[in-house]
Amino acid sequence: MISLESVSKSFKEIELFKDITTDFPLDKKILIKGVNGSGKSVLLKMLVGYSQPTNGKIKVGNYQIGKDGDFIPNAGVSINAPEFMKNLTGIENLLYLAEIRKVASKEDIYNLAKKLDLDEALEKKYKTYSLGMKQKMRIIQVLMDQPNYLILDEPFDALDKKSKEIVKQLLNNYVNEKEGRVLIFTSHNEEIEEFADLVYEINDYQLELLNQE
Amino acid sequence: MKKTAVIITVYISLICLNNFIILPRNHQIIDQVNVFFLNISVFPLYQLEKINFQCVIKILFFFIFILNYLINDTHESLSFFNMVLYRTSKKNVIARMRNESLQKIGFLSAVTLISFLGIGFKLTGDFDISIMPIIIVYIIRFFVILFFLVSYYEIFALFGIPIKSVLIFVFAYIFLLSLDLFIESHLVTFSGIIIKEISYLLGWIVICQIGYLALRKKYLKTEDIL
Repeated sequence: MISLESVSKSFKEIELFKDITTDFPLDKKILIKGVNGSGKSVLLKMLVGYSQPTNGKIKVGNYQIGKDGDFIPNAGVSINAPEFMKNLTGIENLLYLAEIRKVASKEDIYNLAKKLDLDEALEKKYKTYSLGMKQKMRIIQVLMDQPNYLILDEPFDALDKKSKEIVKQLLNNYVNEKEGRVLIFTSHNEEIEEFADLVYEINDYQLELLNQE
Repeated sequence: MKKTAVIITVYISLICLNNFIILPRNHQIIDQVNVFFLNISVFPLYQLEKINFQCVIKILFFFIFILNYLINDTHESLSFFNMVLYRTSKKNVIARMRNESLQKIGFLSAVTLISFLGIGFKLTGDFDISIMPIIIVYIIRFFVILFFLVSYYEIFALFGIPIKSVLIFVFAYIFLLSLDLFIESHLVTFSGIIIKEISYLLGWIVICQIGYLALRKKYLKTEDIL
């Protein structure tokens, strides 16, 4: 379980969150929505450890982010559409990242890329990729290490209809195939709401649960 | 990297050719080094004015070109390090960035040294092994300063400080260059004296490392990154 305990966050005079206490259960796909500037990305950054709460704690089980380690352990993260090294090929970029945790092999990466119809393009330089291909690269880097926690900011952006369905299926299977996994993501796309098990909305500095399965 | 190595070689060739014209006949490699790296104490021996703008611009352009190459690369990789960061730790990311910069700096300093000695030898016909150590020490000193500037910039970038901050480094270098030109302190220019070169090299390493550790400590404590 990922727990927020009395979490507040403000930047100078701008207050984004005020005393939020909530638990994100495991084995779920959780959507965080909110208007532009409501703090969706900041919330995700706090969950990862890129940003520390002004007050309160964020825990993953007994592990407190920022105290027991800099970042959430065993996670796959994509926030603010990160870019890969443009002069390297897709596979070179992914192997560089895979080498850190030493979980994914080259074959694993190609298998994942095949599901996203990106396997042939992996030999090409990243600078030649379209927006949709770049988004698929981000999905691969998130999933390849088989993490328990997926934290994704707008994972369906720039994808065409067919690719969106493939990514939905991939993420759904991923969360369901093993216990203890969770997907927390943001999206401004209304039609994606049905894909989520739980939908939270950032409203008036608080996180409000809108639906339950 | 290969492209940069070629550009450096071409640039150094042009500089050496230019120096070949302005220096007296039968000059040696050390004279080329004196002129390129602004050892103004010996400029009168070559009938050159101590404040020679042509020579200042040549070294300044060389410095900015290399700094720009290294920093451009850093800026490009910052977004990528967003994906490295959560897989490791802040300390590890800084160490990775530093190692990569060190490899590039090592490569560029080797290219500079080989190009300079190779082209200098071709033009002057001089190959005096006894002057090698002082040239090597100075080139290391030149690139050590660049290495620390790049290391500082990388941490600035992780703090989210804009790319324009690089101008601070360029102005700092111009300031030190000006000091050298007016009081012959040789803080960043070639002194021609081995003991002085070694002392300056060690001095720069100590001062820059202290600054680097302070900056790194501040970054490790910062609450909001990227």
